[in-house]
Amino acid sequence: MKSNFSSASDERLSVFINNLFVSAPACDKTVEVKTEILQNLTDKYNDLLKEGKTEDEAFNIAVGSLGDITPIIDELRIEYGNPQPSDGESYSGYIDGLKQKSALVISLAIMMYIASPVPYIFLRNKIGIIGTFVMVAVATGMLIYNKMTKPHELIRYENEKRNLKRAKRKNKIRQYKDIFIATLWVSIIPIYFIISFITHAWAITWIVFFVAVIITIWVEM
Amino acid sequence: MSIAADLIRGHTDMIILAHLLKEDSYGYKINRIMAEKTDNKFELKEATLYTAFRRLEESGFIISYWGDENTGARRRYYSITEEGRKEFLRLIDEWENAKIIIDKLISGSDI
Repeated sequence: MKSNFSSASDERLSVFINNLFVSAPACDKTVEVKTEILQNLTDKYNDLLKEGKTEDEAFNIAVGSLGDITPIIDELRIEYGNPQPSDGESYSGYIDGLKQKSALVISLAIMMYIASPVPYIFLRNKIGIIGTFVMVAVATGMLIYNKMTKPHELIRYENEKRNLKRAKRKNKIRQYKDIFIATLWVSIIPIYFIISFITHAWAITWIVFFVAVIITIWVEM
Repeated sequence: MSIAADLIRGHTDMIILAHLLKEDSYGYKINRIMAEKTDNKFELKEATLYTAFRRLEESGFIISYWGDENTGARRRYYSITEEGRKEFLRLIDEWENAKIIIDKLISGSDI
């Protein structure tokens, strides 16, 4: 029974450490740091149990002996988290560069969405439709790629910016805006095709993308 | 007590090296021996110890290796290098000097 208890609490320490390191980069080094710190805490925890402390007491004392690990996570991030800013380049310049790169990919994707009916409008045949589909697919792929390869630094920067905004009590509105914009862009492609296939007015239906861009800009302001 | 705590934190490297001179060891064990020696008055935070290990390792004063326990526990052990021994002697020398200087500075004050 004793061993059952202690393994359940090992689990508790392990969950605690995992939560602490949630913002650390996913790499071997992070795993090593977590293993080492978790083992030390587990040793301490088991010794405290032997001394007659209750599990809750032992857990709290062990966790209390951890100290401030933020510098350790920052170090991991600097070393492994993301591409390093080159020497001499300021942090804000580095962030601006990342943002510009991301903005360029998004602009190109939106341009492709807008231009996607062109092959069909000109060719008016199956190849035209395929061309249109391919352009939509590539544009969607670009947006997904952009989101997934977003550098750690930029996500952190945006989170910090978001936290700042939260402090200004705008978080609710921000959340609704984010959900609204995300929903808008996810639904715009089916809407575009439904309208287009019903009306067959391919020459004009692409305007829904333009409208979506206008709505996004308007909501963001 | 707070003077001692500050001094201990300020001399983490020297304390770790002193432990490793005797035998290879790991974070919790160093902390436990420290608590025993000080009647449970002093202990280093896990984060402080970890940061010191990394600093000492980067300077080449210690090396680390993963232990192969049968119990399922995986511990990272630390071992002092020749450079580390030299560094320890240098630190001890500095510490002795500092003690003499502080004693000089506070002695002879007529209270």
